[in-house]
Amino acid sequence: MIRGIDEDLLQQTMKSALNSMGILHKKMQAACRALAGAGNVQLATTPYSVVYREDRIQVKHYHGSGTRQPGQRTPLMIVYALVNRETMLDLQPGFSVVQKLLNKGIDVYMIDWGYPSYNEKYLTIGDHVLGYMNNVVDVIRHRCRLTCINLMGICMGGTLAVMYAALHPQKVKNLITTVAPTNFATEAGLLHRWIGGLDVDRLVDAYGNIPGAMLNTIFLMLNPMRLMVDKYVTFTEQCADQGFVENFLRMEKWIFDSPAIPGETFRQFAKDCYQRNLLIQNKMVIDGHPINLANITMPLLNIYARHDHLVPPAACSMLPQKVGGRDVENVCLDCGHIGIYVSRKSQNLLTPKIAAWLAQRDRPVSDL
Amino acid sequence: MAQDDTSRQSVAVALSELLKASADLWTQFNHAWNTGNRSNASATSDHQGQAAQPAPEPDPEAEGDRAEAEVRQAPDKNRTEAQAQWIEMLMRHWWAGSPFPRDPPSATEKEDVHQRSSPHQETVDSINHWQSEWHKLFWSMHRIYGFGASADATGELEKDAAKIKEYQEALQAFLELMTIPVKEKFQAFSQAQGADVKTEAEPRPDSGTIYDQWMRELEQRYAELFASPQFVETLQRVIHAAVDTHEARGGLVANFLKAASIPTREDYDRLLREFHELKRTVREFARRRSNAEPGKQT
Repeated sequence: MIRGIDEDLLQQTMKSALNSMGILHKKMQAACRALAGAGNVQLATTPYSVVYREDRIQVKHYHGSGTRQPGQRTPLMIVYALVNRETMLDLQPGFSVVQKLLNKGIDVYMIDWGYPSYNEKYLTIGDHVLGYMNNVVDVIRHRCRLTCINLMGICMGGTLAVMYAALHPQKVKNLITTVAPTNFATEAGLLHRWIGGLDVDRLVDAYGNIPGAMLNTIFLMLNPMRLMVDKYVTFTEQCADQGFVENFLRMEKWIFDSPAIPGETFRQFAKDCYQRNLLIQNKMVIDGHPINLANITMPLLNIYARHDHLVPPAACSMLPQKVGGRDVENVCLDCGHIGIYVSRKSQNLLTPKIAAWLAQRDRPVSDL
Repeated sequence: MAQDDTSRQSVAVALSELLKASADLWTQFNHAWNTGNRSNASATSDHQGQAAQPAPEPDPEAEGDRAEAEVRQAPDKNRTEAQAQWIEMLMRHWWAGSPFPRDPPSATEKEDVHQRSSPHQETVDSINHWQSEWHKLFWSMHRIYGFGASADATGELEKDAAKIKEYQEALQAFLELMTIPVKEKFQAFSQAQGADVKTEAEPRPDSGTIYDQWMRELEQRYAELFASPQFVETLQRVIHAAVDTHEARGGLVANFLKAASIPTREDYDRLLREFHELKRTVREFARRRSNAEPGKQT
C-alpha cells in the first residue's frame, strides 16, 4: 500500500504498461524475423540493354513487351535527377513507372548518371546538358533514325531537360516535366529557405563534390517525424506482410543509395537557380549559352504534386506561362514528391496520362 | 623546388659539420681513454716499484699473488675514474647545450660548469662545438620532408582547435533546437496529465489514436521550427563550422604533402580544371562544326 495513490489505478496502469511492453516485444521479434527472412531484395528488375556509355554515365534501353499503337514510334528519353538514383522509376515489380510505360507501348531510354568521383568535381551544368545529354539524344536519334525524340525530366532532371529543350528545341519533339523546379523564388519549400543563405562557394570549395550522405540527411530532416519515426513504427506494425517488408527494404535501399553531386554543378544550380532564380527569368547562362524559355515551342506536359515538400507546386506551376509553345498543360496530382512515382493511386494516374498525352502528339515525323 | 633544394643543402652542411664535430669529440674521448690508461700505467709501474723493494714478510708466494692481483685491479680503477669524470662532463655539457627547450641555466650552474670544466678545456670546447653543430642540424631538419609540416602546423593547431570548438558549439545549438518540439510536447502532456488524466489519454473521436495525434502535432511543430529564421541561421552555422573543420584537416594534410614535395589537392585540382576546360573547348568546336555541316554526325 503506497500512501496517497489509488492502488487499483496503480495496478491497472502497471498491467497496461506490461501488456504494451509485451506487444512491443512481439512486434520487434516479428520485425527481426521478417528482416532476416527478406533476403536480398532487388531494385530495377526490368530488363534493359546499355546502348551508350560515356565517362560515368550510361544509357539504358528497356526491353518492352507492350504493343505499340499505330504511329507511336518516337522513343522517350527519361532524364533523372543527379540526386539519388534513377532506380526510383523501376522500384518494384508491379509498381514500376518504366514497366507501365513499356506496357503502354512506349520505347523507353533512361540516363543513369552513375556515381561521380572526385575527378568529376569540375563538371558543370553545361557539361551535363550540352555534353552528356546532347550526346545521348544524338545516339537515340541515330538509333531510331529520327530528327527528334520525346524528353521527360524528373525533378532536377526536369530542370536540366527544360534547359536542354531551350537550347536544342529542334531535337525535342515533346517535353514532359515531372516535379521539376523552375521557379525558385518561393518560400513554400524548406529547401528554398535553407539554401537561400548558404555560402555555397565555401561548401563546394571544401568538399569538392557534395556528399550524398549530406544531401540525404537534409532530405530526411525536411520531414523528420514521418521519415525518421513513423516509417519505422509502421514497419513494426505491418512486418508480418512479406510483400510489405520487401517493398520497405527496396525503398530504404533506394533512399540511402545517394551519389554525390559534382561540385561545380551544385554550385551553379544552388547559386543561379535557388539563390538568384535566373532560369525562369531567362537570365541563366550555361557554358556561354543563354537559356531562353521562349525557345521551348514543342508541346509541354508539366506534372507536379500538391503535397510535395521538396519541390512545392509554386516552384513548378509557372513554367507553361514562360515557354514559347501553345500546347502546354499543367497537371497537379494529389500526392507527394516520391509518392507520385511509387504510390498505387498516383501510378494509376501518372503513366496513363503520360502515355495518352504522348499518343495524341506522336504524329509521324520526318526520318533522318 | 629551388627553395627545397636550398633547404636540403643546408641540412646536408649541418650534417657534415656535425660529423666533423663528432670526429673531434671522438678524438677527445680517445685521449681521455688513453690518458686514463697512461695514468694507470704509471700507477702500475709505481706499484711495481714498491713491490720491488725488499719484502718485510717471509712468505714470498702469498705476497706475489697479492701483488699480482693489485697490478690487475689498479689500471681498471684509474681508467674507470677517468672515464666517469669524462662522461660526467659530457653529460653536463650535453644538457647545457641541448637544443630542446628548457629553463636557462642559473648563474651558479654556469660558474660551476666553468670551474669544473676548466681542467679539461679542450674537451669542453669539443663538446660545445659538437653541441652547436647538433643544434644547427636539429633546427634545420624542419625545412625538409614531414618535419616542416609539423613545425608549420604547430601554429595552426590552436586555430584548428578553435574551429572544432565552434563546430561543437554550433552542433550543440542545432541539436538543442531539434529537441525543443519533443520537449514541449512532453511538457504539455505531463501538465495535462496533472490536470486531468483523460484529456490526453483518450483520443478525440475525430483524430485517430494518441500516436497519430502526436505525430501530427510534432510534424506541425517541426515544420514551424524549420521555417523559422532562428533554425535557418543555426543550420547554416553548423554547415559553415563543419566546412571550417574540413578545411582545417585538408590544410594540415596539404602542409605535409607540400613538405614532402608530393602534389597536393590544389595541384591536382588545377590539372582537373584544365582537363575539363579542354573537353569543353573540344565540345564547342565539334558543335560549331556540326552546325556548319548539319548532315555530319559529331
